[in-house]
Amino acid sequence: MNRDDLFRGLEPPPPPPGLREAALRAGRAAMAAAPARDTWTALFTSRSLRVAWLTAVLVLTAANLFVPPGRAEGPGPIRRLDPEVAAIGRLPGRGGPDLPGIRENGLEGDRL
Amino acid sequence: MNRSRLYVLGACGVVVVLATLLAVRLLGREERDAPAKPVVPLARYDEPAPPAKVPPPVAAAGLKIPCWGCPVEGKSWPTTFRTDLDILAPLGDGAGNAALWLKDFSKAEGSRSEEAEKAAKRRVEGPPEIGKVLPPDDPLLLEAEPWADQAVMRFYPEILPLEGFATPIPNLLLSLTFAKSWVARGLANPDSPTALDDCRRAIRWGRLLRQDDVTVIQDLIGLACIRIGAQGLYDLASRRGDMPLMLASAIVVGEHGPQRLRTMELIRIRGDAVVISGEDRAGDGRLDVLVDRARNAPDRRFRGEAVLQLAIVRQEGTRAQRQRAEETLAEIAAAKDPILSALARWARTATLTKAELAQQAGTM
Repeated sequence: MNRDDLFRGLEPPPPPPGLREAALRAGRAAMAAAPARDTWTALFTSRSLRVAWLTAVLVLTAANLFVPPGRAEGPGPIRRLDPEVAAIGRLPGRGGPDLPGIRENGLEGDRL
Repeated sequence: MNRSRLYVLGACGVVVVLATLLAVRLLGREERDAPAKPVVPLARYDEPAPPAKVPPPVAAAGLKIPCWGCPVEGKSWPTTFRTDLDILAPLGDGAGNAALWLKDFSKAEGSRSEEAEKAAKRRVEGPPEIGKVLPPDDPLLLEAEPWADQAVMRFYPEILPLEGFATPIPNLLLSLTFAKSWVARGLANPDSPTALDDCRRAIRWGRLLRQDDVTVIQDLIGLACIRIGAQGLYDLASRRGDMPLMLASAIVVGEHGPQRLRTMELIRIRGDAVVISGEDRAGDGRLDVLVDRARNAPDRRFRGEAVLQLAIVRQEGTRAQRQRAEETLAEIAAAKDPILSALARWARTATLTKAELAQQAGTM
C-alpha cells in the first residue's frame, strides 16, 4: 500500500491565495507607521487642553496678585482709636506703640 | 514613568497650588469682612443735668511733692494723684451720672454719634500747646458744662457692658475735646472771672473720667484732661502772681508723667510685649508677673488688663500655663468686685480669633 494514499484527504486546507503577500504587506505598513498614542500623551499634546491650562494659570496668577490677602486686623471686636486719643495711649517703652484692648479710629495726633 | 504623564500631573499640580492660594486669600478676606457683632444702639438720655453746686477749692495746706521714683515709697502707690485734687478743683455735688449723657456720643452705639462727628469737624485751632478745640460758645460745649458738675461718671457695668477686648468705651475724643476747649476758652480770656473756672472744669471732667478705673485708655484720657486743666491754672496763676495756686498746679502737673510711666510698667512686662504662646516656654516668668498683677495690682484697670491677657494664655499657652491661667481666672471670677468678676468670667469662656490674637501680640 502506498503510504500517501493512507493520509489523502486529511491534509490541512491550503491558505487562501495571496494571503502571504497581504500579511507581509500589512506588516511592512505597520512597521512604517507611527506607534499609537496613549491617553497621557493624547492629553499632553492636545492643543485645546493646553490653551485651557494656560488660561487657568494666567487667571489664577492674576487673581492671586490682585486680591489682597485677608489681614490680621478684622473688624471684630477690636476697633482703632482716634489718632489723637491713640497718641495719649502711646506709652513710652518697647513692645509696640498702642494700648492693648479697645481701639477706635481717630484723627491727627496731638501733644499731651 | 511615562514622561507625558509626568508633565500632565505637574501641570495639574500648578493649577491646584494657585487655586489653593487664591482660596486662602479669599477665606481670609471673608473673615476680615465678616459682619461684626450687631450693635445695639443705646437709648438716648434726654433728661437735663441735675442742678449742682461746685464747692470752692480747699486750702492747700501742707503740700508735699510726691516721690514717685522712690523705690520703697512709690512702688506700692495706686496710680492716681497723691496730691489732693480738691485743692484745685473739687467735684460738684450733682446727683446725676454724667455717663448717662456722655454715652449717647459713643461712636458705635451712641444715638448722638453723628453730633459728635460734626462737633469734631467744627473744631478750630486753639493754643499751640493744646491743639484743636471747639469754639468757646459751641452749643455742645455749653451742653456739657453742667454734666461736669456732677459727682459721678460711671459707665460700667450698667451703661456699657464688659466684653473683654470688645468692651465698648465712651467717645474719648469728644471728652478730650471738651476739656481742651474749656481750658482754651479760659486762656483766651485770662483776666475773665470765669477763666479759672474753665480750667477747673477740665480738671473735674478728668476726675470724673478716672472714676470708673476699668479701661486704661479712659483713665489716660482723664489724666490728660487733668493735666491740661492744671497747666491752664498754672499759666493763669503765673499771670496773676498767685504763688500758692502756681505751686499747687505745678505739683499736680508734675504727677502726670510718673503716672503715665507707671501705667506703662503695669501693662507691659520689662518693657516688652506680653506674648505667651505654646512655643514660649520662657513665658513662664512672664506668666508669674501676669498672675500677680491680676491678683494684686493696686488699680482695678491693671488687674483687668492682666485678666484679659490671661484669656490669651488660657487659649494659647502650654498645658501647664493654660491650667495656671484657668485657676487664676476662676479665683478672680469669684471675687467680690463685679467688674473684675465679669471680666474673669468672660476670659474663662472667650475664644479669640487669629485676628484678635495677632493684634494683641503686637500691641503691648
